[in-house]
Amino acid sequence: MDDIVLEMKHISKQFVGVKALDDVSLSVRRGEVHAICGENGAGKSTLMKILNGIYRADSGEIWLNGKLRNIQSPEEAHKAGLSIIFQEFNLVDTLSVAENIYLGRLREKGVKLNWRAIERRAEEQLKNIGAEIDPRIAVSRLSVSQKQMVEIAKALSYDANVIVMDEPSATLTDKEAQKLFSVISDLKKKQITVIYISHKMDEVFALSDRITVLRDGVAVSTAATKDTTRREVIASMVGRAMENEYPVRQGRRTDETVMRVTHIRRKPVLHDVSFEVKKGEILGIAGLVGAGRTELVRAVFGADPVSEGQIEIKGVQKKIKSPMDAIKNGVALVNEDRKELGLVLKFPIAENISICKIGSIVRKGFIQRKQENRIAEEYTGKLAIKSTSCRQKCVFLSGGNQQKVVLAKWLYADADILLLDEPTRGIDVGSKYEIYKWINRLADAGKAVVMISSELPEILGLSDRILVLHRGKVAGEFENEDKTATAEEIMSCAIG
Amino acid sequence: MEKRQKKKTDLKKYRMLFIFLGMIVLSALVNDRFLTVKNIANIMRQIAANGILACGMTFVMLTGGFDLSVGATLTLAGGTALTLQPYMGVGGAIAAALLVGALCGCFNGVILSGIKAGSGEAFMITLGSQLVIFGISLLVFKAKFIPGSKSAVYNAIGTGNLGWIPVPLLIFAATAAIAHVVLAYTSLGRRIYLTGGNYEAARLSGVRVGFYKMLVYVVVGVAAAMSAVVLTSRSGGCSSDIGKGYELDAIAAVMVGGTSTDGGEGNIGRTILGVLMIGVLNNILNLMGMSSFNQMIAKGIVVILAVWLDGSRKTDKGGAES
Amino acid sequence: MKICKSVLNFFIREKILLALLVMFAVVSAAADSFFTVGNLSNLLIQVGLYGVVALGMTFAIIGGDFDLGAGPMVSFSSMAVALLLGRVGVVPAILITLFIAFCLGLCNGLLVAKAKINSFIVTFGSMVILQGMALTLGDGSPAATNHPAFNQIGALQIGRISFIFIIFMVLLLACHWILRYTQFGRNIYAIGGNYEVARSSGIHVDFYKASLFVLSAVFAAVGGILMAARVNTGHPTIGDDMTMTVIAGVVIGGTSLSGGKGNVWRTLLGIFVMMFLSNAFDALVIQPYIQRVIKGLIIISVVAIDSYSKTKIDVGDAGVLSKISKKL
Repeated sequence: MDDIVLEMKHISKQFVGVKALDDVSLSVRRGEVHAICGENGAGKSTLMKILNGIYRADSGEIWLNGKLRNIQSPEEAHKAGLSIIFQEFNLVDTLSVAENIYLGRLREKGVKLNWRAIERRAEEQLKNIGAEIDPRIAVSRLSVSQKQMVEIAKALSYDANVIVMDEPSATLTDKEAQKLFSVISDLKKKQITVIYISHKMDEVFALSDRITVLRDGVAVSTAATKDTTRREVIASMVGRAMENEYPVRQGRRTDETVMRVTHIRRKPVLHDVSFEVKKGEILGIAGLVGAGRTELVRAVFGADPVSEGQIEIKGVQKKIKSPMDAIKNGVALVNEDRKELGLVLKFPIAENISICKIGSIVRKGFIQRKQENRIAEEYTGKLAIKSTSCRQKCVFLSGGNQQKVVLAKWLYADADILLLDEPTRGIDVGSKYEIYKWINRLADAGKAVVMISSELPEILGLSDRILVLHRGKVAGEFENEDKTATAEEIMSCAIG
Repeated sequence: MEKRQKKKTDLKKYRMLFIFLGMIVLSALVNDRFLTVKNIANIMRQIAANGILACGMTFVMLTGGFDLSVGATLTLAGGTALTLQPYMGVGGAIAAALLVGALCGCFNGVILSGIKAGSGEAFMITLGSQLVIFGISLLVFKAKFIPGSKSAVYNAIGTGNLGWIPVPLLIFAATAAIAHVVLAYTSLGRRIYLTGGNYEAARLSGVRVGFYKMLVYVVVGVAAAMSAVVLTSRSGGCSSDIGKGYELDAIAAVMVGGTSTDGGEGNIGRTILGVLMIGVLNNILNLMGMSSFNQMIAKGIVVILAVWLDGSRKTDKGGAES
Repeated sequence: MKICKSVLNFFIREKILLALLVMFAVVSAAADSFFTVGNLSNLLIQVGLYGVVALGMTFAIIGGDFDLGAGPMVSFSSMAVALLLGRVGVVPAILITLFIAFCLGLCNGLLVAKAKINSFIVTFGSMVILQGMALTLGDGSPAATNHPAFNQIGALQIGRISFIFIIFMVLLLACHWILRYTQFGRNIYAIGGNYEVARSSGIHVDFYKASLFVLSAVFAAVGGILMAARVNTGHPTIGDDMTMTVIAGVVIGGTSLSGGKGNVWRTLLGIFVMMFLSNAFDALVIQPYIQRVIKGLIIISVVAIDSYSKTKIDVGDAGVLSKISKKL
């Protein structure tokens, strides 16, 4: 019964001045799904990078498949039977699916490659996990979930019996995630061990056999999933008990319409969408991926050109043709991809906060650096952004803190209408809660908030009103001021 | 512990400066004519043209761009400045040359910002415009040598002294100072950095990225025209290949200084250092009586070596992630 | 009908090829001196000389880099082989030249792969060094290749097709085979497509990165040797301007400067276009200065159209529809 396939003993790792892992021990049984939970910065990624040979542990041992291993590179990890699927896909976009699965290992015998055999093998690998993907097409043409399937096929092609998945569902739609889960249970049947790293409690509880929680580089608990509860796990992740997953709002919305969008069209993704949002209201936008949610807020923000449509702000018709127009009219957009679209990562926090209103810190053409720092300090303090100083570069911040910088930037820009696109994606539980509180606080302060989320509970827990999009059209609208809307009705509306 | 770490990165930051100082000490030891006022004035006179151009190139490279056409622009602008003098006077001719430079830059800039070019595309497009601009200058000036100016004022730009300071050095210093102030302290500079730092994020934060992407090419075009004026004045004429290779020299100077090709990182100070290093190198090799051919070899080796020694800055990222 | 459609689609995809064919027809009709056996075989020689250098550059560009030193390497090796001929004979002279190129390429490769210096700086440096070396060898003046057997390489024709072009085609087929059917070739695509992924997939990225520069140098040296055989002289600056023409040719053929994509057939096409243009301009008696302008405009429009159409395609991507589950 206790067939241990992977055992990490007393692993410690120190980075300059920071103890990333402190005496972490972990044992994983053959054929189980072992979830690892923890907030960002808890040491999950570091632990996995040590497993993969990207980092070397300062001390400790790794036993894999019954042998003591000294893993120094991903290659050696593969040889030892372990594969990791990282959040950022390890695929070469320009090459074919088959080639990606066998990247660097195409040759079987002789010098000449046998493409037919390679493609056949790849097809088999894909079929094994129930993925129907043509092995000949380029990876750049695949959807996110298809890429994930290719990653899994690639991992299995190394004959791995331990597969680590780092936040595999973060960028998947729910249907795609379901697919992934069924693949994982298939793997389990084949006695392949899966180490599953995730923030999402639902998934962890649905999938895993055991759960290990990391906090601040220490393994705080390991328990069988059926013997623990969601609340317990969250509590040990954040180190305190959480009363509610969603904070309760103090204020109420008003009747004053701040923004009215009418008949907006952008082919082929938006067909005649109209909506309005009131002062102090949180409007949730639900819908399937591809329903046009992101496209809608981007169009309203002027990030993409629209073919038709009017935008009225505080009763006055406005022409919003570029983000600059939007900002001038007090509209803000928090993008779903904060690293690529939200922040200039290699720039300091202060310069990211002042970015929308550089004019405000300029005197006679010169930037007042002191003033800029003062503003940055004010906002980092207000939002409790953890950083060494306000001139620290954003790359070095955790996901949650990065998102807070994005929020700070729009707060400083004095936006009245906030468009939030997946504001909590890839953020740990603790920071999520803080972001929720901020969303509430902003609404209480009289801002109008439009929030897109793929996590239905988030929409249900926060919004005053819910708009459901389906194939670029409004499919339904639900009152939710007293949190009375149900997941079922919204979902059936979204499916259309 | 942390303090020592900080000190270490500070030292790393100035590594190129130490390499440069080492080069000066070495040069002074090797040749006793090196550290004379006359020679240093000479170096300064020689680096001015490349220095002005490199300042402009810094703008472009900060946005993640690239400009291979500046050598051709230089030739065209130089020819313009000399040819038009008899008709428009010195001031008018210089203004015309600067206008030509700005137009050439505008040509590049409009195309590159229109197609939202990455550095690969910038490389190819400016390679194309190099052919176009050079072709135009050959057509206009019929590939002939244009004799130098008769105006004493114009000639003073390249050869004169103000007190004991060479005029071209003053022009270079003024250009560099303005460029530095603009980049480091003004909103214009900040927006240029932002454009290079993350184009899309800057756009979505209301920065007019397309405009700045175009503007930097105009800046480098004007810089090319300015160095054309200095160069044609100093060398007393303009041959059809006067600008040849200047684009690569300028890019090399910027890169030796340590401005990355990704954009968003780097500054004028580093560029000046790069310009000085290449200038001192040329000078000492000359003083040592090395043949011009061997000088090329030595120059190539030293450029690679200097960047190599400076290279450890790149590994800065290492320890900080966790 | 179906064939018509697929042919049409092929040409829509391969715009450059279509443009080349149209221009070829137009120029043949417009200039009597163009579509002649003499001129066309001359064109093939040019394609062969530039093409060989371009093959090496194709490796470098697919691998995500480029080599500014390729042109000067042509000059240098043409000088080297010319000077060695008289002293050691044809075959050793060629072998020694290739060996020197190999070593110099290896230096570049190690500096980029091991010392992690930006490849622009390294190849810029080696460009200057090679120019200097080429000039130093003959003290700035050309060196004649007074060796009949060697000169025969450049003069030989097999049924009006120059031996140089045949060598090029043989090398092209070899390169095609390497890039398509060997692990070595595929790994070059991998490092060009995504360096980090290649590394974490266990590919020895340093080796492949270094080999890009070795290949580029050796192919450039072959080009230099053929050049010397063709003009019967080693010339210290003959190849200096080739780098840009060759890079432009490779890119115009459709091999992307960002790496990981492309093949040698595209290089053949691109080089053919570049050489055709020069040749056609001469045949049409267009002034060389105007030729430059037109060439430049062509490069600009090809790259601009290419990248503009790329940004257009990206926008339309709507993603996949799927359900919201009860789970959440």
